[in-house]
Amino acid sequence: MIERTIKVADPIGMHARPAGQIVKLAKENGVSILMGRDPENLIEAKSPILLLGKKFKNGEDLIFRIDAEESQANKLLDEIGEYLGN
Amino acid sequence: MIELKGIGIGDTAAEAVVFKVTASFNPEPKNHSGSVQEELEKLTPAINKVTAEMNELAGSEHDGEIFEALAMLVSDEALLEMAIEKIKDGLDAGSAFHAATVELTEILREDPDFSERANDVLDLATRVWAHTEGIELGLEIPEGEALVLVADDFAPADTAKFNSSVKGVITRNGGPTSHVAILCRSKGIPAVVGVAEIDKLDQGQKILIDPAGDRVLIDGVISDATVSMSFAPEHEKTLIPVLGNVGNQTDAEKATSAGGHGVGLFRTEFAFLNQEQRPSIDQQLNDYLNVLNAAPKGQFIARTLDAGSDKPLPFLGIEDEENPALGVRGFRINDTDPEFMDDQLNALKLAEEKSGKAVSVMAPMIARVSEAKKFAELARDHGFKNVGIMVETPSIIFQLKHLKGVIDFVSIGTNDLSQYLFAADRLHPKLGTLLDVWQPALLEAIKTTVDEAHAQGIKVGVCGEAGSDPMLAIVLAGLGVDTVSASPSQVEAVSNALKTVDAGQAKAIALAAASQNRATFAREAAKKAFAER
Repeated sequence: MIERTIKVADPIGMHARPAGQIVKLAKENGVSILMGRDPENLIEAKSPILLLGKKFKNGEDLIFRIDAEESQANKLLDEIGEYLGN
Repeated sequence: MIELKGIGIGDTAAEAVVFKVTASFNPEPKNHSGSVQEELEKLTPAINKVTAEMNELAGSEHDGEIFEALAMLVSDEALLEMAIEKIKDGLDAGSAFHAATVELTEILREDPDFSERANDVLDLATRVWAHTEGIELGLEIPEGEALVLVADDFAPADTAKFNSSVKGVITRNGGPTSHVAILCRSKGIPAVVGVAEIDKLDQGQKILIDPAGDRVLIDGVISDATVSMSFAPEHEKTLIPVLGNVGNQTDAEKATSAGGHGVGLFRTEFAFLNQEQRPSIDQQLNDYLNVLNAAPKGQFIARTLDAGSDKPLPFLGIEDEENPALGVRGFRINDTDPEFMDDQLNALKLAEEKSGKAVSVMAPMIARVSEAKKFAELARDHGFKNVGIMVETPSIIFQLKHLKGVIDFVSIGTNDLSQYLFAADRLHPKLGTLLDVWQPALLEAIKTTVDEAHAQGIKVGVCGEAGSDPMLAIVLAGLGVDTVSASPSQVEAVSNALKTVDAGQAKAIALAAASQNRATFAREAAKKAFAER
């Protein structure tokens, strides 16, 4: 399991498109992506609407945890970083 | 001829026929009589169909990202799971999906950034519902006729279907920044949004859509259209200097080629955007020099950083606020981070020395005398001779009498001054008319500022939207404003306007406008006085 902290770098925060992209990424790669502000209380990225409801703002540090091999997980985390404007 | 008022988008008028678009599918929720499995067999293909429609639009429309996002939202798994629960409770496929969408998007509604998205998803849920009943939903616009589409609002999926028959758009809801307004602006379709009396329009009626006049005329013809004023210069020099508002080197070049008499507002924010770390003095110096070297000869007024939680910069460590416009922004940052201002003033001073061009500095969001004094002292310690403040918060207008010898000039930022004067969010879709730069109370505030400042030997400039409106620039000159600063694209138009009048004429026009009690009257009175000068 690989964990990384990624900053939201989008002036309007995490909006519908990146939320959808993260969910799609998890689905297409058959992995579970856990994410959130609090390491004790991460949610699985399965629903873009529920992710939007978390209202992740610009500049916030989000924790991502992916249950996959290190090289695959890192690749996916890089992609997530791009979705979030990094 | 009946006139309906709204907010105009674009400036070309068009004659066309009313085509009312009503929601043709308004079903009532109902229970199913079959099995959960049967309902699912209706629901899944309906969702897939709408998702596919959105993905198709994503590929063909220029704002495709919206549709791509919508496709992802409508195929949300949590949404489907919730709908399945509702089917198990008895609702049929379409009703269940719609009810689930209402419930799930509730969490998005508190946030203005997301509430528009919630409406979009709800529109998609209605489409899914229609598909489950075998109904084709969609905006069918007849081809070949000149039509003005009329509706409460248009969803992105509808605006994507606007064809060449659409000569105009009228909506009851929405403001200048709504989805339909943005789309019409980009496609050059005249629109009037926020028309409260939209019900007075009848299907098939001939109307004139007149965005330049912020109105729709029932039975109007093209000769009734509001003509955007054009000004033929009569004098060689402008009545007062016309400066440019610039945010980067390109703007500065444009201001120069438009014949600007200097820079009335240099927004320094650009040097800090997209920076994780605070930029060094050298980095800032480099950015400022590029702008200074490209700027027109004459005055050059740099505004110190105007950031806050609405325009957050990671290195300032500003926390989220309920009301960013009323929070820690502009000069207020100096209280928590004085080093930042010190760096910026150092960099601006170095840029002045290297370019050989005199730089004046001013601070944004000054609400009290103590703040003006503090900034003036800082700026003078750094060696600046010409020091000013922005007039944005109404409070400072009533304290100008204490600023003799403290500051050399004020610059009125009419956008923020309107926002604070009328307690109306600059970005609010429904409050556009409160922020009209012709509001008599705003003109009165400007006049008071001029009188109070001049009594103390303080110069007055205007650098907000108001300075970019040619007719209003004449009024400002008539009120005694010493300089106006316009966006580079408007410098030429404003200069031409200020070459048509002398001081006495401008004063008469200003008096005519400022004595009115409505924005529309003020605008008309100014035009009339101008024509009769």
